Amino acid sequence: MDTVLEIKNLGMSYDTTEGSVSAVDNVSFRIMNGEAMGLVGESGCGKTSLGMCIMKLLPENAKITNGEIIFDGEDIVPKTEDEMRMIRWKGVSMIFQAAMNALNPVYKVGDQIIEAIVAHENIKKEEAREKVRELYKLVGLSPERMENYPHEYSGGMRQRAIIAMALACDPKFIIADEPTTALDVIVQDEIIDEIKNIQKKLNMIMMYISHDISVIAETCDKIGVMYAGNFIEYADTFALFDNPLHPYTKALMSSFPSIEGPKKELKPVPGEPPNLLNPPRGCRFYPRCSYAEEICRNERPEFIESESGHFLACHRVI
Amino acid sequence: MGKYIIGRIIQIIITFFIVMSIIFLLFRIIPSDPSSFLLTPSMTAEAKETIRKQFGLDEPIAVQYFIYLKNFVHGNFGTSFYSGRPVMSIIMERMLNSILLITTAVIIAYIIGVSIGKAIAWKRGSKTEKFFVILGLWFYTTFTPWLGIMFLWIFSFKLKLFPLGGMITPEKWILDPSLMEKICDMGYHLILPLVTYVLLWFGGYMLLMRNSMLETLKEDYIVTARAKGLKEKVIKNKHAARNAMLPIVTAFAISVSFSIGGAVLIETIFSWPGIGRTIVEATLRQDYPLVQGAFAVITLVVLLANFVADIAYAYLDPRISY
Ligand SMILES: Nc1ncnc2c1ncn2[C@@H]1O[C@H](COP(=O)(O)OP(=O)(O)OP(=O)(O)O)[C@@H](O)[C@H]1O
Ligand code: SF4
Ligand SMILES: [Mg+2]
Repeated sequence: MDTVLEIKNLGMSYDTTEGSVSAVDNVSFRIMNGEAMGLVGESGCGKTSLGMCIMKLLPENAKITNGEIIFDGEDIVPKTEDEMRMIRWKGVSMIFQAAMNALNPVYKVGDQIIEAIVAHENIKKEEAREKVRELYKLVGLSPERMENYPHEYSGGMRQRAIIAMALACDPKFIIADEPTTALDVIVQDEIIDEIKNIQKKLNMIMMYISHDISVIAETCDKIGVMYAGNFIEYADTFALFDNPLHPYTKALMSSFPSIEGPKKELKPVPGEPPNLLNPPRGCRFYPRCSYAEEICRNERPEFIESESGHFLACHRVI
Repeated sequence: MGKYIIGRIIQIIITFFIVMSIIFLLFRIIPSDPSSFLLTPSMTAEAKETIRKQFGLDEPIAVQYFIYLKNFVHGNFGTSFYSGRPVMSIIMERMLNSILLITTAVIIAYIIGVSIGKAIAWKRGSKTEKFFVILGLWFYTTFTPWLGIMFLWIFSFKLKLFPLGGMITPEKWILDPSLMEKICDMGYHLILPLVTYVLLWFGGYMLLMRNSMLETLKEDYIVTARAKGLKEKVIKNKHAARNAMLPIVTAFAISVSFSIGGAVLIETIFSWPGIGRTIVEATLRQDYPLVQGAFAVITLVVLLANFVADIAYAYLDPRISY
């Protein structure tokens, strides 16, 4: 299988008045052709920040401090805004977390999707419109709805339209950032099924961000666990559920007794995640870890392959 | 929408009616003799009699009020004391002159202000932005008569580039020049007051547009637009500016009301025979019919500007449905 996305040792931080927030640190993983990868972690651990790094859509106060993002064989970190424009939406597209405001209120939804197609493909507006009609059917929306404005859509419909928009340029890679948080449970399940089916059908690679590990388990082939900006464990979904190695992942699993069980807010371990302005010197999980040893306080654990295809950052297991 | 427009028109008529009533009261409270503001001692006895009849000055005040309203509805604002001409025709003429100067200036200031505001918000943090913010603030807070007089002194008096005031050169017009020459002569008189007005007004629009644009640029749909890989120009103009413009449309209507205050000052300084200067002159000459008429027309302009802004807003923002 081919590697489509490979991230090596990525670091990103935000400059704030109080100092530098290390939101992504020492992150490495790869996604193979056709795979869906789930990204799970508590609120504020840097999931969205990591997604935005891959699209290089960072706010002005953010910068990638080190590492490589190799997409389709090329490192995109040094790429200019103009070069990124070609990669965005055609190479990598995104289903946004805040679907509420992701659409421009003054334009018809259909036109906003057509706009994306016309910007990348050398086709006429009419052909683009036809394509959007197909996409609407694919995501379960009536094509007549293309003529409506965002405020005329319900929350679920808007989310479907945003999925259709993300698919508009047949992207190789799609990032879904908590695509269902704003929706009620029934609509959530429908949308998740929709995304899963489409991803398999169109054979895209996907990164599905959520703080709900049961959703990720349903949707994804691999799971990456993030904690305070670090990748701490990365493995096949079955391997991770069968044999979680990192203390944080273990706690996470035990707080979800069954994949089909009730969905809860992710709060597996007592205590709070560290302040990213001044994270612990060694393992960032150290203050909350019940297995912690002296070495954990001073030395950062490397993120390495402990078993075949199972990556981990913990001193104790190795 | 149709229903809303009809409702708004009724609202405008009622507001206009109330303002007219206030004007009626105001002008009847000031002098002790109600006939004194329609009759001048220099009139012939016959003329006085006609006016008395026309305005019902010998009737009780309630009847006078209805005659006053009836006259307004018929567009009869009476006769100017000073010139003896019908008030309506004076106002029409002065309105056209004001439109030529003030309306043109407001539109130019608006276009310039909005364009610069948009551009500097996009380049936020740059030196260009700081320069324009300071420049705009400086002009915006400058005392209008001071700037007007400075410009007159420098460009007209010292450098002799522009006339000292007025709208035409009467000596030239007596010779019956061609239309082209007339237009050039007017343009020559127009430039200095126009530039003064534009400078005084663009800053307000610019700062408003900049702020609105900075707010809009934080919106999620701007991130979406960037994520879609759209060109910078498209993101700036189609996605950001289009939304940032919405509050500026309302500001435009409000500024039409304020521009009348500006018109009074600018027209007086540059001796421009517009409606603003007419109010000043008529007040000084105690030409009450003319002042009354001018107030009525200005009220109507302000009401209509707000009406147009509301309709424009509804047209620009699909979320608003009346
Ligand atoms: N523009 C910014 N400026 C400064 N700090 C930021 C900015 N955006 C995010 N952060 C900080 O970076 C950290 C990671 O934020 P991020 O949004 O990536 O988390 P997340 O995992 O997506 O959280 P959630 O599940 O709530 O969406 C947080 O501590 C947050 O406070
Ligand atoms: S490195 Fe140490 S502190 Fe960190 S998770 Fe492993 S055992 Fe716990
Ligand atoms: Mg997030």
